[in-house]
Amino acid sequence: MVRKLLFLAVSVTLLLYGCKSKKHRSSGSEHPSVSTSVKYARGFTIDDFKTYQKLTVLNPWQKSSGISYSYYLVPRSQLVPDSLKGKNIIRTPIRRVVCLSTTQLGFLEALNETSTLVGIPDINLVSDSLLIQRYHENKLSVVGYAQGLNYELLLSLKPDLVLTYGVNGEVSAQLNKLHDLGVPVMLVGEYLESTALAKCEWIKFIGALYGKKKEAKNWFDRIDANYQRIKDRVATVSYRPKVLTGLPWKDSWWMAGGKSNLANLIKDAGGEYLWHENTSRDAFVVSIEDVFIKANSADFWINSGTAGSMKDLISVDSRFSALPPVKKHAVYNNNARMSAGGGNDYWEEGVVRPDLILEDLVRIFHPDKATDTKLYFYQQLN
Amino acid sequence: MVVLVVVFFLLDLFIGSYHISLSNILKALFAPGQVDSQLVTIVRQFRLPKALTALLAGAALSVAGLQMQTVFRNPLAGPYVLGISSGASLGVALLVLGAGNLFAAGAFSVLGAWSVAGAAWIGAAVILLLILAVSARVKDIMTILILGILFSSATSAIVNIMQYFSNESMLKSFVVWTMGSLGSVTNAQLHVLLPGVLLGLFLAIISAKLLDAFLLGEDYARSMGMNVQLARILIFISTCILAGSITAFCGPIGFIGIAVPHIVRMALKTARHQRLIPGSILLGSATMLFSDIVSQLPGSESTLPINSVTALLGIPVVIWIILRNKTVGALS
Amino acid sequence: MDERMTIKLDQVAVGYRDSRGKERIVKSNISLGAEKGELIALIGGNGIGKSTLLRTLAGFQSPIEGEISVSGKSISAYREKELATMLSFVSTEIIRVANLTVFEMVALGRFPHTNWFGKLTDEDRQIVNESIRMVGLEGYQSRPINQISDGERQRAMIARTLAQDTNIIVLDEPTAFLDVPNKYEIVNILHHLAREKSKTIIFSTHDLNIAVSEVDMIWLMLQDDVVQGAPEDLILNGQFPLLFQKSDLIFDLEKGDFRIKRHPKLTARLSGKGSELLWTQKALERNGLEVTDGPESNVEITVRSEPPCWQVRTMDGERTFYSVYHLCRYIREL
Repeated sequence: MVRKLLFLAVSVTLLLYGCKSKKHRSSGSEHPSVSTSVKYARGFTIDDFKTYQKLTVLNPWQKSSGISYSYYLVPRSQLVPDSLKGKNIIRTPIRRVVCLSTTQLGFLEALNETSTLVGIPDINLVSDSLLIQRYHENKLSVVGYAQGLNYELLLSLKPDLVLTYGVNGEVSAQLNKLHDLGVPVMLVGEYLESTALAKCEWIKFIGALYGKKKEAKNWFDRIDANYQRIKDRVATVSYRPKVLTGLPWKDSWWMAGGKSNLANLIKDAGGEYLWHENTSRDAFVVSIEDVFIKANSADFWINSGTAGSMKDLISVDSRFSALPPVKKHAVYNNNARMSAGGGNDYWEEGVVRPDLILEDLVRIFHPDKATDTKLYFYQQLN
Repeated sequence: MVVLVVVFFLLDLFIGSYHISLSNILKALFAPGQVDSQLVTIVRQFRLPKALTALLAGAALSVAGLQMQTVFRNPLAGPYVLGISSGASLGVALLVLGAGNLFAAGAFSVLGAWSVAGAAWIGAAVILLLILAVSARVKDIMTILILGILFSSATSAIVNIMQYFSNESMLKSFVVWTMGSLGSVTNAQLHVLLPGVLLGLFLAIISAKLLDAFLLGEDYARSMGMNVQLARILIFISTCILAGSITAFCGPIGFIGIAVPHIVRMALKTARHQRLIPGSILLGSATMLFSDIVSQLPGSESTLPINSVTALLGIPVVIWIILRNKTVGALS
Repeated sequence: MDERMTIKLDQVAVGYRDSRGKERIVKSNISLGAEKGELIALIGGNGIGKSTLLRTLAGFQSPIEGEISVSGKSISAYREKELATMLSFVSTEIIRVANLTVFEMVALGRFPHTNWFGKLTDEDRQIVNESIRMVGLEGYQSRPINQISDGERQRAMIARTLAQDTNIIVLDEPTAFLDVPNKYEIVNILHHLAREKSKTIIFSTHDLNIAVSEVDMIWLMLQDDVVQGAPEDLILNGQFPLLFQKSDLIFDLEKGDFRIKRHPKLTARLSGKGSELLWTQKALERNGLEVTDGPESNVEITVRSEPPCWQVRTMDGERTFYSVYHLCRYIREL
């Protein structure tokens, strides 16, 4: 009698347990076992589930709010869970990718996945020599820019994923079209981050696509530590040199916002951006007169458009020669590493090496606090 | 009228984002030692060239527009009707959007002010040559008008294609150029602009009699002994120099050339160019200075592109002209 | 060759260049001449080449063949300005320019005489005012040309040619858009100018009645030939009626006018007197009835004066009508 009861009890328990597990498997409303921690970036989150990861992109274009796109990364070795039917699914690791912005290339280079790149908008803007090599070997194709996107070519490349970016709602039309064509698309918003480290942190996002979570984390942690070290060195300087940036279009000067990437970099490097009191993340217009008045107290001028020499600079507007940084030869531009076609490595490698950018700025603003005086991304204009 | 011009000129000098008192402005101009050097720089390097440019641009575009309206006997003709601004656009587009790609790494001077001005001028000159070539072989002036408009469309189409294939920063460069700007002309550039405009105006003034004859149409002009071909050439060259120079340095600025001649005709109540040309010069300058003052948006921190202001001022005038006309083809 | 001949056209062919640049001759073998002080009307059917001839004469285009000479010298040998002092032109175009006063417009005629800047001397002004007076527009000096009537504008255009002070004036259909009184007025002025000022005036017109009675010479452009002569010469030698060969118009030599060819369906005897008879006859002819004396007709119409009425006697009986209109209606039904 007892044995029968025991048998019943055991079998019922087993049954119940089994049912519960079954329920677990089919419900899909699991809680993520771990959320990949994101330290600075505000544009994405990564949630790890047992058999898949959920990547969410938040507000991927300027002035957007409350927008999010979710993507589910399922390794190729796994079956796609029923719970994910109908959602944006990406099989990882991705093997063929098209990047519609060259700023995304830096991540691929850092993760050593440049061999997966099959399409870019324009070869002229690429700096990495490996990629240029791939192009010449016909392994990499040019698909054009946003409006002029060559959909046919894109399709023929059979990409696992197309990485694009948003600029107001216009790209939605492009997104929809790509959706209709059955091409997996993902919006990447790294350029909207307001600090260089946050931008760099997107390597975790891209890393997830390749199943290289650990490598990405390692990379980021290393860069983060470097960056903080450099920042600490100049944290207590007594004098913060005043910095002018940019170049005008005719007689209106688009100034970087006070809370923009560039402004933050200047601050971290121990400088004071002339418009640091501005509270916007986006650029704003200042009249050329106002700039001249404010720039009278400038010590340095950085990021001066595409100027490669003093002559270039003056040819834009001869009145620049009256500005103090020009008179003192303290003009530095971030175009030291340019490819033959006009691609600037600052926007490629620079995205994943903000520590190098910061070190450059420290070399400019506080040479006594720098490790050496050789600039990497920047060059002094003569 | 002259008083108006002077007043607006001074006002234009006075109004800018940084507040400078009138007495300081005058001192900065004539007695620089007495004022802070920064003020002197602002007044002499920024305000003065801008006001002078506005003066010249207004005069040049108005007289060019007047000539075109007379020669083509069309009240809606303007300084750009021969396709000059489109030619200039094409020149600049080729430089900024096209060559930009080729020379990006090396010749930054792609964006240099002189290069842009040069490219614009070459574009305008090419169109002028085309028009002159056509004009020598085509008798009917209306055909030339239509061809001018077609050249404009053709170059616009080419420019659109180039824009389509450009990236954002080049596009922005180009688009900003098309918005027109008076403030980016430096004193050095004025040294070229001023003689150019003066030459164009001079040519227009000596053509006053020819323009009067054009009023009755080319047939009558010929019957009265005018060498129509030569007259056309002279007037087209004058228009091209006037409109081309301004477009080269300031970008295309619209509506002034169409609207001002009509107002001058109304105010002076005459069709004789002996009086219309000086009238256009004065009113054109005054209007452009006024537009520039408005574009500074006194009292606020932002500024408007000059083309928006001239459009806002000019469009109501053009609409009013159209409504007033019972027959298109009358210059009223 | 008479050197006094102000204008001479010698075996001229006129035409134009078509869209492919090929020359197309509109009229050839034109040999005409005109003397000082003559008023000449150029007459011809539509499309025969009157405008082309006048424009060639005025120097706007060269003759395809032959030579046109003015005062013994070929017009192609003259420089533009020189030619402009000898020959002036008025086209059919209606000129509309706002804010242009009559004085200013007429003053434009001084173009070939003034300096490069166009300055008017006192003498110039005098000539302009005199020209305005000659066309009867005294007092109109400051009126804008857009605000005067078509007839007045046409006169102002003529005044302009007077100010241009040329010996020859060529006008392309100057009476075209004018009402009848104005038509006569203009031709009258032209006639006066030819006589009093010894100008040679050539104008084209479709107003045959006026031309025939007022001009000194007609240049007649027919299908096969171009002839010239006094109006009466051309009528009497039968060339004038050739103009109407292909049309339904016939030229009545006796009555001196043109009428549409009638195809009468009916004949009738008509009696009456005076102008009533004359006008009744015209009305009947318009309605398909031919007036005869012969007895073969079945219809008899009598015109009475007091009171004016019309009696019609046919085989069916007799009817009386009190207006031509009703008479005609009845006739049409016969």
